[in-house]
Amino acid sequence: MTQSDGKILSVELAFIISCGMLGVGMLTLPRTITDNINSPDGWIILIFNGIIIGLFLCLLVFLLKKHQVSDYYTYMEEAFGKWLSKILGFVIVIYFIGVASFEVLAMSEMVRFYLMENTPVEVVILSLILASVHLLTGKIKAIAKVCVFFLPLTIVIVLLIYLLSLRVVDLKNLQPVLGNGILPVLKGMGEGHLYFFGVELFIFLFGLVKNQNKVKKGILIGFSIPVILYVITYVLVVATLTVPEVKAVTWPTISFIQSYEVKGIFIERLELFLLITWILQFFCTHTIYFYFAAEGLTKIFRNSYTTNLIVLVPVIFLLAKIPKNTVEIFKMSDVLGYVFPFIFFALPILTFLIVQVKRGKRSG
Amino acid sequence: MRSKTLHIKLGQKLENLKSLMVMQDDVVFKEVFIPSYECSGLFVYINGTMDYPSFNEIVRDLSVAQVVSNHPISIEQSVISKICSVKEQKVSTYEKAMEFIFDGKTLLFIEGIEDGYVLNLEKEKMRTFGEPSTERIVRGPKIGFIESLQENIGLIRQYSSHPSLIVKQHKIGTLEKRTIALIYYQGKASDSLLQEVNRRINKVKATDLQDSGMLEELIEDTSSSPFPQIQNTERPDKVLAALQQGRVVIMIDGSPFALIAPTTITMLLQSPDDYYERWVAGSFLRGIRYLSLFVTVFLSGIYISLVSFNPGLLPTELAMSIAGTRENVPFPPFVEAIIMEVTIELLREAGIRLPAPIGQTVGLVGGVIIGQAAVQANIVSSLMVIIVSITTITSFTVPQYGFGLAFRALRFGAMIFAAVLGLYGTTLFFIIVISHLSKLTSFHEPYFHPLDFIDKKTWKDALVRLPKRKNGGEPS
Repeated sequence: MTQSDGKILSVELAFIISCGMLGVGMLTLPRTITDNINSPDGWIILIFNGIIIGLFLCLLVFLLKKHQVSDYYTYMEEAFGKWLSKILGFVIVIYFIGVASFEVLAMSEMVRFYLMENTPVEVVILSLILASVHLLTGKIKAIAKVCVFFLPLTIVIVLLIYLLSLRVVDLKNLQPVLGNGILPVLKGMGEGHLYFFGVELFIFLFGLVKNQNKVKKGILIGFSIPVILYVITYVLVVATLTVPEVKAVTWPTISFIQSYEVKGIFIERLELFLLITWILQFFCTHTIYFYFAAEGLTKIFRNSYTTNLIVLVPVIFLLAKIPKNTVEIFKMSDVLGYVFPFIFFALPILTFLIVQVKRGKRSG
Repeated sequence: MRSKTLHIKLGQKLENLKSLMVMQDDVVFKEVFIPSYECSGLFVYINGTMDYPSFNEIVRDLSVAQVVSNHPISIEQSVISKICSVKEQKVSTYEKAMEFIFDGKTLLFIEGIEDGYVLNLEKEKMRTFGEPSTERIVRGPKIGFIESLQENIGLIRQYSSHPSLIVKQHKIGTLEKRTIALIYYQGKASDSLLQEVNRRINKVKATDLQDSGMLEELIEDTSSSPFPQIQNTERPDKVLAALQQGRVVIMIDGSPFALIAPTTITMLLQSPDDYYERWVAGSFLRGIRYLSLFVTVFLSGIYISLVSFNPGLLPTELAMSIAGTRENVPFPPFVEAIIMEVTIELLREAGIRLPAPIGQTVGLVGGVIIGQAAVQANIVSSLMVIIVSITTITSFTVPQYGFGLAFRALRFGAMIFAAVLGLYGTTLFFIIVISHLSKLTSFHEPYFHPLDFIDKKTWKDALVRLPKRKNGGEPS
């Protein structure tokens, strides 16, 4: 298996999807869900939405396989024609740039808040962007390897931290289950898909997988790792901090880790480890979106990939400079949240239907 | 005159050869009279390259009485029969003759025969096989390669007698022609790999090389990287294990280090005695080695970032005691760390260059006395001395010297990042190192392969050394 063929294994697909999903969501998700439904029932939403999206992923795999999509941009061109597909592609690229920029911004905010109050955020943002450019010159294969290395590290460290937290967890805080009735939960479910940012990358990764018959397994594993982590996180955080407090803090997951100390080992403050591993995850998420933005531009304008990387550095940097405070940062994620269902649900279905009709006409 | 064919007269040959090599004082011309044929002969060789006992034997053989035979035998035939054990070929021009002389061969000319005979009476100067000095192990074969290519190949052939082991030899270089050997198992090494290796070696054909280290740099994928992308080893057992895995081994005459391509990062962290010791111990040592790599690169950086940016993240008591040891130290942690790390690197370098008994003294004086004095003089804190000692010791655990060097150098990068951006900088440096490793290739094969750690088939060898399978499961 050589490095340069640009194909990934289904295992690597799983890791890329997981790393793409595990970004800022893990740290803020208990607050956003609880804000929405105002009760500790978020885990139900997570599980049900996870199952629904999992099923939808199976459908997507089926659709993409049926049309033997090897490259999503050419597939869109087949459906919408040259110009409309370019415009659509450009919208998608802007969305990718937005997410990339949002992730690096969220990270810089976290770093500023917990690690380095006096360092200008510009330095943090720019250094991360440049580091990811360094990795991106190695294309998808190098990204896959970094994900494969970082994700197990993250999972092991996070689970260890959670294990040590079990002392302070009080499951009574999660009760009553469905105390406000089922309606708020159903309402929350409508917006529940937003917690699964990153899974939409799958449709662009599909054609890159070498062993096509294992794609479904890969994507489902890659999707279920974050979902399981999200559910565990939600339960632990809300059970420890209680609903009103979760709603009050910006980074509930970090606050949760800060709420207890483990005496007797070298480091008592475990949030240190969470912060470090989450910088790794922010980096992965940012890099993956950055890659798809650059790759998308290459497909649309048919210019060199390296040029696009260089052009995107100032774009992502300046975009990350727009929001002035934490509130505006999270507003940015709301805006991106409106585009997500379009790319993940509407676009693939629509493209499939049009291509199906067109191909049907041609053969018939 | 050089390209002329040899004269038939012996005296003329002698004169011409002498005039061609008039500056070369170490060329010896020895005339002998061969009584049984009643003709004279001439030996030409370079002083010091010849093995005198075998020379004497040839002279004696030539001198003994001729066998009585019914058939008429020409002088040429009977000379050939006597020198056949060492004869390599014939020469017919002066140019060729000189080439062979300077190659260390002995030339024999006989009166009345136009061509000369090239005799291989060469005495190769080499040390005996000894224990490899750079890759010591506790248990396992104690034999290492030497500077003679042919002996090294002989050693490999001795342990691997399978006919599919291919040894391809080329000459490279312009001034000094060195023999370079490509060794692989046919059928195990992939064709694309062999093609790539051949292509890269052909590219450097006109370079004079003194050691395989120079070749390594010329044929590796990314020579700007701090990490060696080709493994070098003095150990035949490592070479044999690599050959069995379908890798190509490149050896060059005059160097005891064989090159193994392609290489992965896990290979560089494995020592053969992981496989010779019991598996629990082997896995344990391997784990220790991974840990010590991390410590080597990042411990100083973590210290700097925690002490100068986030002392609040340390346990209160530890933070207090660190502050206590640093109370009288006038420098920021970064300067303190740099002073100690540079000192220790200097000591190490000095220790290698000096003769062995003095080298140890320098290590002792440097490590113990300077460290102690520096703490008492309040130049560095005592904790810093401990950290530097730990990182130094851990950097020695890497089985491959060149690979360890890379990490020693990277440590300074981690310290600079930590000084500028604290814990975030240290993490960023970790990200950059991992990204760099992910992009590296060795002969187009991935160099860093984290899937090794996860894949069912390979993880056990990358992370731990699980028991060998009895039904012919091959080691490593």
